[in-house]
Amino acid sequence: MKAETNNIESTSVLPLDRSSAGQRLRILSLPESAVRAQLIRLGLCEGVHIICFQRLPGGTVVVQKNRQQIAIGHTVAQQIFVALVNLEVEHA
Amino acid sequence: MSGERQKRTATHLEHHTHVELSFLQAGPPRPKLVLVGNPNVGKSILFNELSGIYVDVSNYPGTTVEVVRGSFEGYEVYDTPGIYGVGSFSDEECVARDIILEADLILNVVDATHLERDLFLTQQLIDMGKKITVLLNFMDEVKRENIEIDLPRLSHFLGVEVIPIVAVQGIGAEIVHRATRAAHEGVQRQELHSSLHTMLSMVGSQAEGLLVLEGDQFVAERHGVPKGNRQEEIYIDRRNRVNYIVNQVLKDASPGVRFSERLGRWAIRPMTGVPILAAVLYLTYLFVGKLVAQDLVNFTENEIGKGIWEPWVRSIIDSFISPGTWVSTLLVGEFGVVTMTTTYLVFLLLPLVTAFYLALSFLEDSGYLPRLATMVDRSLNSLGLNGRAVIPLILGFGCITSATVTTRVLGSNRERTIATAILQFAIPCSAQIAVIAALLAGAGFVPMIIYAVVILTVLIAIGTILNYVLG
Repeated sequence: MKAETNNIESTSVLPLDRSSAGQRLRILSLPESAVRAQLIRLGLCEGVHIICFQRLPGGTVVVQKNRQQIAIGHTVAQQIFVALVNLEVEHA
Repeated sequence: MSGERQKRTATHLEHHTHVELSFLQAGPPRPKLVLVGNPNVGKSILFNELSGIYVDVSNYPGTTVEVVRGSFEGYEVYDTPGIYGVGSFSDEECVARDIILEADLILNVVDATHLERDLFLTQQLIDMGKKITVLLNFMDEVKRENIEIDLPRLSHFLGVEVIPIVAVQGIGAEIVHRATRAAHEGVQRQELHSSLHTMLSMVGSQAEGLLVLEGDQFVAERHGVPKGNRQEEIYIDRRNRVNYIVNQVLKDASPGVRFSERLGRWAIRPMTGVPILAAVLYLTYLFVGKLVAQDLVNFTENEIGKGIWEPWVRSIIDSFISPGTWVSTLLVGEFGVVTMTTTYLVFLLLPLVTAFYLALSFLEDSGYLPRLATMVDRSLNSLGLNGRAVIPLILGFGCITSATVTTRVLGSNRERTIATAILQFAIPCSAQIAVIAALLAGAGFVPMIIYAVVILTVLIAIGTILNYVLG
């Protein structure tokens, strides 16, 4: 896996539906339901880094992982917990 | 060809149980070639090239999912619904799963620009012990986006042949032959391999064994075994393996979304998204409803149809069937079978339907529809639907019958019921709109607002009530 150097995590933990566009996030936990397997399939596992691409007023969130954009409905987004990640140095 | 073969020790004795697909069987059984891949990777293009225009379309029993079957050189070719993984999460997945279990040979179409996402399915098919060749599509985009994929290395990691293609430019029989000849089992992970070996005695095939391990209720029931509980563990392992492989073979010079990113953002955010939707609808109306339905069809129906075709064919028929007889009236009278039917079919409906499908294809290819669905998802949730339902609902303003057909894209029976009810009771089709508009024209602005509000209220009421009642 790519290693990120000088990775300072703030202690902010929040549900995905409260994130804001542009934030870099790390997935902490996924909901315990059928949707869990489907998230893993698409590459959204616990520990994975994503970017919040866009967040709609109702709580629908579009996340981005490399080139992939995935839209997540508000009920599922409420149940995914993420941590804010601050990267000091981008990996080359 | 790839190297690693240490995982393929003894030949596993496998047998297929012909279950739901037996309804398709006609004539002596031929080997089954199945196309599998994520949604929108180009499977259908490949299918069309393989089987031409003579295709059997049937409905998988108990679902709204179509099973499309064709022929290619002694193979029975099946197209499957796009899936992100083999499982039972939806009707489409169940159908795809059963077709895959029956497959003798799989062509897995993969989107090269979404390698990380697509290879999960590939690895799962390999884990199932199926004979498979990977066709890597969209190689032209890969080149354009300065992405480098080490094909031999990818082939080595997966243990199967990987063939680059650009589906829209045509594939060619040579590549298909290469693909079918090269199909073989890939590299399974060792622990998985031994677990599957154990399952083999209970369920009869590696593929079904894997599905049972992953917790598939249906497959487990068919063999009378308890379903496994290792789904998460297997899925995460597989995900990690795919991530590792992609890391090793992919060089992406500039990851991240490209120039259409801004446009995509605008399409989703309601503030800009709603005007964009209005603009898209208006442009579609201008193209289909005005340019084609009025102007073009006016020309083709009247000038060509009534002006050229009908007199011409009438003169031919008149020369050996005297006008005035009932045969003549039947064939070339005012409502004649040869005259009016042809005019309506070829010169009226054909341009219209072509224009409609052109507009729809353009919308699909532009990538606008998923963004529209994302924008309206939350609002539709309160009606018990999700963003996908926006398509039938919008189409309903054109023709409710066509829109009801489109409700098959919705995932569950419940959603289809709610969407259909809303379409029937709340959404006015274009004919109704025309009549209502004529009636309201003289009445003024306020009655129009009242009408719109009443319709909206009925829509919300039906959706909410059904959502509650259907649970």
